[in-house]
Amino acid sequence: MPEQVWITGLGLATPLGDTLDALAENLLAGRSATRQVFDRQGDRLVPCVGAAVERINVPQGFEPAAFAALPRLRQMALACAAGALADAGLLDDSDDLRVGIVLGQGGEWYRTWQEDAAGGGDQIRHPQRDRQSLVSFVQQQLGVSGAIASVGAACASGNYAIALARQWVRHGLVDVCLAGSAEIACPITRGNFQNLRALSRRMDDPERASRPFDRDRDGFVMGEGGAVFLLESASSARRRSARAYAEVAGFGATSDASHMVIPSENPAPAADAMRGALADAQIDPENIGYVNAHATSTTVGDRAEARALRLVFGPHTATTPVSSTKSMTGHLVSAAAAVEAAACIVAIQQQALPPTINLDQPDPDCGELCHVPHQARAARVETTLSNSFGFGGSNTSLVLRKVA
Amino acid sequence: MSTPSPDSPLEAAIVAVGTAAFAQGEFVALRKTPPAFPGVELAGHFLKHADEQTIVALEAVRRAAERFELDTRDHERWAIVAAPKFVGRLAGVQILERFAKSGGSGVPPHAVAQNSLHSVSGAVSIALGIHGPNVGLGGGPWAMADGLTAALTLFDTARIPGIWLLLTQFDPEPTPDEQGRPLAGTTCHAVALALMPGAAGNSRLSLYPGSAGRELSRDKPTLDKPTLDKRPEPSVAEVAACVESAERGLATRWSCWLPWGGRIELRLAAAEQTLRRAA
Repeated sequence: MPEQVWITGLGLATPLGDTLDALAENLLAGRSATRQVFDRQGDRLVPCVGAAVERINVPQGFEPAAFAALPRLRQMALACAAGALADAGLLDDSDDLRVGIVLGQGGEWYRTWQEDAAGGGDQIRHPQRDRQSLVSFVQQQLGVSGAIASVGAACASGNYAIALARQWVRHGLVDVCLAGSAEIACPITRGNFQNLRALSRRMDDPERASRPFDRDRDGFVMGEGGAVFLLESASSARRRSARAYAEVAGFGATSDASHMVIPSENPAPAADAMRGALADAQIDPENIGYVNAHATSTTVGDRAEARALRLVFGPHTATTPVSSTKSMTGHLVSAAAAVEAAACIVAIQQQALPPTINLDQPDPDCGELCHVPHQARAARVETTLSNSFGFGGSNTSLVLRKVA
Repeated sequence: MSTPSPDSPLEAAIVAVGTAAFAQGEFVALRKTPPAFPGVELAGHFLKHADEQTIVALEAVRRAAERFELDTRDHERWAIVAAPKFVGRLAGVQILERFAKSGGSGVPPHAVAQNSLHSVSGAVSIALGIHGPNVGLGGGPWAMADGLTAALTLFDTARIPGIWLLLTQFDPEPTPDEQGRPLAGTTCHAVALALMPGAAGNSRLSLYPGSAGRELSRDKPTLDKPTLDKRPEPSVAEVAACVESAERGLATRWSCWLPWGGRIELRLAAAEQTLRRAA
């Protein structure tokens, strides 16, 4: 049996806070981070609904002015990675360790090129300027060494990053591994989703715009943020008496093989991803204490996931609590899976279920689920399942388990 | 599960290989005729907005499957690991231009789906009808290293029986004009490797973890002046040349150091019969 891999550090930058305590307080209070924000489009500021990170903390040891001058995506990723390393007690104590890094990235270079273009540059037309990837940059700035990779599965990127990092730790490729993802709000991406008619147009009521599973939903709210975790083997964590947030107990992944954008009508592939994660964790569905759904607040996506959940949980569907924290954070796109893994840690640590806010009238097609509407509630949560699905037909599920 | 060491690297058997390379001018025709794979009916417009690296990757898979007589219907649970480099640069010039002129309403709705890191693997999973995981790796400098490393370390992630590893890039990386057309000639290359767990046969992909690579980051860079890796970055064309040597009857070996201190080695037997036996 492979050795357990634990999460022993985390760094956050989310619309609901940059510490686990802040995230927990806001999620469990049912606070919405979605509001009116403005996209710069040339000389115009265009209002839209979004969920923004208002402040990215300067990591310990970095000069504030130089940090502020970095592209925003680099700030976000570096702050989260440094935060995770510091939280694990390894920021100044990693010289003898091989520290791997796996960062989930949906469109790193598009973000880079667009951010540059917004400042008047034309880096996209000068390939010689594209010299260093985000993950390599983070590695160098942290002064660590070990295997690195960027991994992209659209909105499922963070789950892949955590899964690959767990493999690297188990294989002994690295001693510890930073894994997670970061995303910035990018007007081009927002325009893309707007033109797909995937975004909520509830401009007059932005805090109630993200309403997964609700009958009156009209699309998702794009957010930004990041979460990076430090993964290490249980034996390593015990040796140095590290605090363990959770065990990365299971991962499953499949593809719809159906459409580049639209989730498959066939729930079997998504269900298979969940079953794979449960099998990997050697746990039965009835022992899952909380499901953090992908549910973005689109009709087609929410219904497809509800069908898949029913396939997996069968008679336990009505008793297995399910919520979508995207109702509060918005949809963090490439960073969604990682931030939702943090939400699962909140559930495990606080023994409480984060709610789906704005769930006034559940869509009848999602009605059999055991929703947690409006308010958090206390519950025994030993093990969580977090679904993240993405463009390209990617389905992923991640099981986190309380460390005994 | 074994811990890799210099003596016992992480390995996978190579059961099929294929290459493809197209000049920019060839893509207009290629977009109109998606390759056919058994059991899958693709719409005629499937590749209309696809990135060039998606198109060349699909052709490399088709050639590998045909040459090694693989029926991709048997690969339903396989994974697709695609390591493209700078996906969407050419299309991106036009997208940025349209955004500058028209704002968000000018952004084509297929931009994210077709020009992101996941786009190659996602499209190939659809074209082959594969329901195993699909994921993109790399995307920028040293993308191929990310893909090779991940392919060798993903195998027991989700009980995967095999992996199509797809390495793609333009060579040279195109410098686009204002309409997104390359200013000089460039070729889009792809290598498709069909991998299975273990190291049966004489054709294999190996990962030697090596040292930590500590020496690479000893001098802490500043935020505004990062230290760039000095090691020469390998290209997909190099790997393709190795594959083509094997196809001509020469046993070949290719290896490269990874930026973090590990080493990848690709060994290809001369006779394709050897590859078939591994399958």
